[in-house]
Amino acid sequence: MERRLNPGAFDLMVILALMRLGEGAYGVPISREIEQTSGRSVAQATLYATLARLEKKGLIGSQLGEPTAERGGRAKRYFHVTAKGLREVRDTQRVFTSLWNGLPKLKGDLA
Amino acid sequence: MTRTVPPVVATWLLKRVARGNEALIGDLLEEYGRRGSAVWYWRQVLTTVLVVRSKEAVLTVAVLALYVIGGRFSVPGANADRLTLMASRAAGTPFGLFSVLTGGQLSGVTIFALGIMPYVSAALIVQVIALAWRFLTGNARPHRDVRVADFHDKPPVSREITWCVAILLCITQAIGLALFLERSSAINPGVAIVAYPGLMFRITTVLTLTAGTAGLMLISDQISRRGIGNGMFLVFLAGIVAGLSGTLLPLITGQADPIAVVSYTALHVTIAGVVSHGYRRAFVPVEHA
Repeated sequence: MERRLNPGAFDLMVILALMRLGEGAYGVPISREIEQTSGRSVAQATLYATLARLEKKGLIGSQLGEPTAERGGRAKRYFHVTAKGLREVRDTQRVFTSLWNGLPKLKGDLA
Repeated sequence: MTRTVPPVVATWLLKRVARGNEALIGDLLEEYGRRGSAVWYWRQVLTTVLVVRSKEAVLTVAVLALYVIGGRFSVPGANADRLTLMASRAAGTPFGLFSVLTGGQLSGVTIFALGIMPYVSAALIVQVIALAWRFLTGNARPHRDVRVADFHDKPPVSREITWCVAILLCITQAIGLALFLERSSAINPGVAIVAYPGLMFRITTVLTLTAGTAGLMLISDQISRRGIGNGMFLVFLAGIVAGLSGTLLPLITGQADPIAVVSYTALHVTIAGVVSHGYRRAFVPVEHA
């Protein structure tokens, strides 16, 4: 049966950032990780909208941490990748790798 | 050294918009403590407004457009031009005041002449009766947080009952309006608003006005049910904005009584407050550890 690939480009970046960060992945380090690797600024609201969508799909999970003073007494929400999320990432990697291998070598600006 | 107190207005806006997402607010406060850039902070807050409220904004504009388009269609059999003329001459009378209060929709006898108000009234009536019933039968419960899912699975009061009461109110108000138009025509036969009064006109008026309001109720329910926002409030707000020209013009040109200005403001602020607060709790996402 035909299977639809779920994660889009930003979704995938978020999941990979979560995997790189491991424990302690909450909003601030996630956006920092994506900004440092991609060189693009990330709006926190966009990140949370993506995280909420991924959580709804069951690709990631979350739990609340302890409140801290520097956050105005607000708790951090820690995120982690679920088993389903890991499968999805592996599938996507496999598809991208297959497509990538079929391309001629990248030379300069031309593919 | 970085600034630790972020712009107060931006934080106020952020807390209003991202209510329920404490983690997001905390993240922005924490990151501001590190960066200390007011520009960055404002950009994040404004993006949050766009992301969180985009659907509501689009829907409000869509409902607004619906009001404007619907405002061009009058009830069949009624001469809207003559009624508008009568409303302009009726400054200071109850009809003139009520015409201003409906943002000109009433004086044009448009299909949205009754607006969403019958639904608002019905919701309040049913809620009050339900509360009184629980109190009398000793089933009064302490207030608790309600999840969106809880609200849709087990609404506090049956939507069907609210709908029935609202439709009854629509029919009653529409009959009243039809009779009023007929009598006005009988008193001033020279400028008759209704050319052919009678049972057919009354039935047509009731069907048209009830269908118009029922359409607004349906849109309101869909907005609420999909968790986009408080549908009743959005539709009510769109009605006010759409009727601003019909309300402000008579006030500016002096055709409306100053009492209308005070009444209009007080009434709409009160209703908006009640509608906004009455359903807010049901749509606040609750964070669970």
